Parts: sequence; structure tokens; C-alpha cells
Amino acid sequence: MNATVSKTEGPSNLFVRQVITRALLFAVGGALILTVAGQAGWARGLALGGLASAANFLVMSWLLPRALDPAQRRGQAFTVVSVVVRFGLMAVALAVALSMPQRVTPLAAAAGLFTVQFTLLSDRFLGGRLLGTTSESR
Amino acid sequence: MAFSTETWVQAASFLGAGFSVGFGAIGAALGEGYAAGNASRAIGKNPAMGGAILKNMLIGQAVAESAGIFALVIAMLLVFMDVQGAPMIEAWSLLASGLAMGLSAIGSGAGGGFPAAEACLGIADNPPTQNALTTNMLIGSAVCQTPAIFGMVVAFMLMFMDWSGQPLWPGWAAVMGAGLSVGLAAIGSGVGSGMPAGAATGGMARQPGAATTIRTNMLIGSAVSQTPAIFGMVVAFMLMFVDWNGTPAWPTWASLLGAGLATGLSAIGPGIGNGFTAQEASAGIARVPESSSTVTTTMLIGQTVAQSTVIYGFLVSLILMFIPREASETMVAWAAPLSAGICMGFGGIGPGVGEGLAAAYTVNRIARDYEGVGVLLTRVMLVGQAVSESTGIYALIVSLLLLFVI
Amino acid sequence: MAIEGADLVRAAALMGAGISMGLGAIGPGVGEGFAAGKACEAIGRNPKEAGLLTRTMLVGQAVSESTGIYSLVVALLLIFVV
Repeated sequence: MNATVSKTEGPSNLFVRQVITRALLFAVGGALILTVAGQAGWARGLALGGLASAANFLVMSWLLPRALDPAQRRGQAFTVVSVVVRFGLMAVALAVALSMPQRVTPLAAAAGLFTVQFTLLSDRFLGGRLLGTTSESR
Repeated sequence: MAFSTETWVQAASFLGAGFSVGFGAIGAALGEGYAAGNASRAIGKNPAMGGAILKNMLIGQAVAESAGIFALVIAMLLVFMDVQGAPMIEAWSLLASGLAMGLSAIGSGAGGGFPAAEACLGIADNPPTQNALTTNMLIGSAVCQTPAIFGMVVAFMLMFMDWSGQPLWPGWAAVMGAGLSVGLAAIGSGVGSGMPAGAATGGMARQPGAATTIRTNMLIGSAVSQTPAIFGMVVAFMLMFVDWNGTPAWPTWASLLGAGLATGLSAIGPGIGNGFTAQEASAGIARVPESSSTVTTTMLIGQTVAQSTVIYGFLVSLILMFIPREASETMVAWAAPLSAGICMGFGGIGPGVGEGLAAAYTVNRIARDYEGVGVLLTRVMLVGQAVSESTGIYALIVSLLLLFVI
Repeated sequence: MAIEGADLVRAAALMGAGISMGLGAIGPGVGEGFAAGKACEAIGRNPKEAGLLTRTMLVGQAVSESTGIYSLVVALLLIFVV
């Protein structure tokens, strides 16, 4: 049983890819709309934040199986590593936005960081195709 | 050692950023670690559902992490803050901003782990319910992030409002009090909102037919658990918006700092206690859905009584803020109000948790036999809660003595 | 600012009073609540014994109260007698 857990792969790559694609679509779509509306800074910020959010989710899915280590201590240690690495990633994105506030609106980048959460919540409440019916449990 | 004002403000903004993201990361790691541990157990119980469980855990962790991301955003804003020409009081407001966001992210981050964990366990036990469980986990986790949003609102205000109109003394205490008030109060409420979400999700796995009833109770219980954080935010607003120019600098700073601590600390207990109560109520309704109205009523009674200590804390805060003190340079003048705030603050924690536990066991029992012993148990619960309250009342008495008799 | 010795001592006493009562209220608060909860659970299982169980709960709570009362006494001493 232990061997099964430590060899478990992450959740299906299909699901992760679907979420990321949807999230990037939202981010890019929103950015395009903002560009057309004349808010180029906001558009770039949203796109940057959305990219960081998707990257965060991707890294979380990679680091996930390690955090499930049946040895409690190592699993917890890995969760901490996961959080530190991912927050560092998002911090870089925010730092880029904040160091050139004229070209990339920081608040837009901050909003963009929540693209994946928005994708997950909106999917659940508008149809649920992404997060799967029971037949798509793998 | 004379540094320029700008140096101090810059240093404070970095320190605040450190607190914000540091505490935020702790909260996120706690919640995600708890979810991961339980996901391991779940996979152990039902390896065939491994993929679904991990997918669910990933979703749950992403939402539970939101509070941590708020904290990261505030931290980065603080790091890049332009401190040219900022008054000295800005140093304190930036530090307070970081504390407000960081502390409130601990509760929400940790609390978000509960629904994720229970959803994973539920999928292992009862695979066909997985969509309902994921939905409930999302709702519960999202509601749980609300106290962190309170903290973020106050953090933004502390960062961006113009503080040059406030005097440095006691202004610095006002902003620190504001940050601590909302930050500390949100810890209890964050955890206290996550616990019923967890129990409700676990209950839905066992009793999928009663999903709506369970979710209603979860939302009511969570909402009441968030009230202590609202008290914290109200005190924070009062501290930030009142003009402290007319008051004497020396003892007033202690009153304002004490005011923040009194409500902030005393809100932790009722937040967690209400969480216990709501948790057991959700679990009980999941076991016996017909009992939902009795259980919900008793839960509300129990939760309201458990909140009394945060009301005492609020009362002490109001007295500290609005009853003026004479200017005095003695140490006693500042020790008394600060001590009063600390006393009521810590004094509110124990009874809040204890009364919540009392109500929790009661609703658990009532769910099993809701037609029989409901009234008797409620009476005994109220008696028991009243006795638990006693040390909270002692703390209130000592606080009032320190405020009025010294 | 010259701090008087007596002033410092008095201020320390007041801080001590607040800390004493504040921290001292935590333990009994949680403990008595736990006792109340367990008593309710027991009464739910056995409603006929409600009287006995309630009395037992109150006795138990009174005993756990003792440390809270010690804290209160110390706090009052620090405020009024020191």
C-alpha cells in the first residue's frame, strides 16, 4: 500500500492541462478586451498575473505527489518547500509588475494571480465540464 | 543613532512585508499540509480513486491558498512602496499593514485545509458523491477566505491612506492597534469557518441525499463564526478614522494599543469555539437530517452565548478609545490601560473556546435524539456555558478596575 | 524623563495584574467548557440521570475554577495591596 502511494503520479495530466488552458484563455481574453478598451497597462498586468497563476498551478501539480509521502514529517516538509517555491515564483511576477508600474499595472497583475481560482470556481458553477463527470474520474 | 525618517519607514515596510508573506505562507502550508496528509490516508483507503482524490486535493489547495496569495500581494506592495517624504507615522502604518494581512492569512489558510481534507476522505469512502463534495469544498473554502479579505481591506487602508493628519503620538498606537485588532481576530474566525466546512463535506459523503440541508447549516454556522472578525474590523476602522489630534499623547497611546489588543485577542476564542459548534452541528445533521431545525437552533444559541467574551472585549475597547484620559507622564498612566487591554484580550480566549466546546458536544447529542432531550440539554448547556464564562467575567472586572479605579 | 522608582514598581504591578488575570482565564475557560460539553453528552445518553450529572459537572467546574480564582486574587492583590 505504501509503495502504491509513493509511486502515485499526480492528478491526470489531462485535467491539469485543461485547467491551465482555460485559465490562460481567460487571462489572454481579458487582456485583449482591455487592450481594445485602451487599457494596455491593465492588459499586460492581467496577462502577467494569469501566466504566474497558471505556472503556480502547474508547479503545484508537479510537487504534489512528493507531498503525499506516507512519512508525515517528510510530507509536511515538502508542503512547505512547495509553498516557498511557488510563492517565490508569484513574487517574481509581482516584482516585475511593480518595478515598471507605467507599463504593467501592478493591481492588474495581482488580480491576474487569481485566474486559476476564478477558473475553478466559475467552471463549477457554470456547467462543470472541466472538473468532470464521474465517468471522467481519471 | 539617528537615522532619517525615510530609513525607518523603509525598514518598517520591509519588516511588514516579511510578516505578511511569512505568516501567509505559514497559513497556506498548514492548510495544504493537512489536506495532503488526509489525501494520503484517503488514497490508502481506496487506491482505485487515487486520480480523482489527487485532482480534488489540487483544486482544494488552490482555493485554500488564496489567503496566502493576498498576503503575498500585500507583501510585494509593501516592498515596492515609495517612501519618499513619508511621515514617521507611516512606518508604523506599514508595519501594521503587514501584520494585519499576515495574521489574518494564518486563520484562513489553515481553515481552508479542513474542507479539502474531508473532501478527499469522502471521495475515498463514497466515490459517486465526488462532484457534490468538490462543489461543497469550493464553497466552504471560499467562505473561509473571508476573514483574510477583512485583513486585506484594513491592510490596504493602512498602506494607502494619508496619515499626515494624525499626530505621531498617539497615532502610531492607533494604526498598530488597528492592524493587530483585525489580524488577530481573523485568526480565530478563519479556522472557525473552515471547521464546519470540513464537517459538512465529510457529512455529505456519508449522506448525499441531505446535501442541501447540510450546506445550509454549514453556511449559517460559518457566517456566525465570522462575527468576531467583524468586531475586529470595526475596532480597526474606529482606530483608523477617529482624529486623535486633540488627545494627550502620553497615556492615550497605551489606550489605543490596548483597545486593539482587547478586541483582537478576545475574538480568537469565540471564533474557534463557534467553529467547533458549527462543525458538530454539520456532522450531526449529516447523521440525522431530520434534526436539522432543532440542531441549527441550538447551534445558534450556543454560538451566540460563546461570543459574549468578544463583546466584553469590544466594550473594553470602546471604553479605552472614547473615554478621555488626562495627560500624565507617569508610568502608571500608561501601564493601566495597556494592562486592561491585555487582560480582557487574553481573558476572552479561554471561555470562548470552552463555551464553544460545550455547545459542540450538546448539538452532537441533540442530533442523535432531537425529539427527546433537546430542551433539557439546552438548559444544561446554558448552565455549563454560564459557569465557563466566569473567568471571562473576572477578566472583565480586572480590566474595568484597571480602567476606572486606578 | 526621570522614572521614579515607586512609579516603575506600580506600573509593573499593574501590568502583572493584567497578564495574570488574562492568561489565567484561558485554562479554566477551556476546561470548564469541555466539562460542560461532556456532561451534556452524558445526559443525552442517560436523561434520567440528569440531576446527578449536572451536579457532577458543577462540582468539576468549581474545582477547575480554582486556578482562575488564584489568578483573580493575585491580580487584585497587585492592583490594591502592592
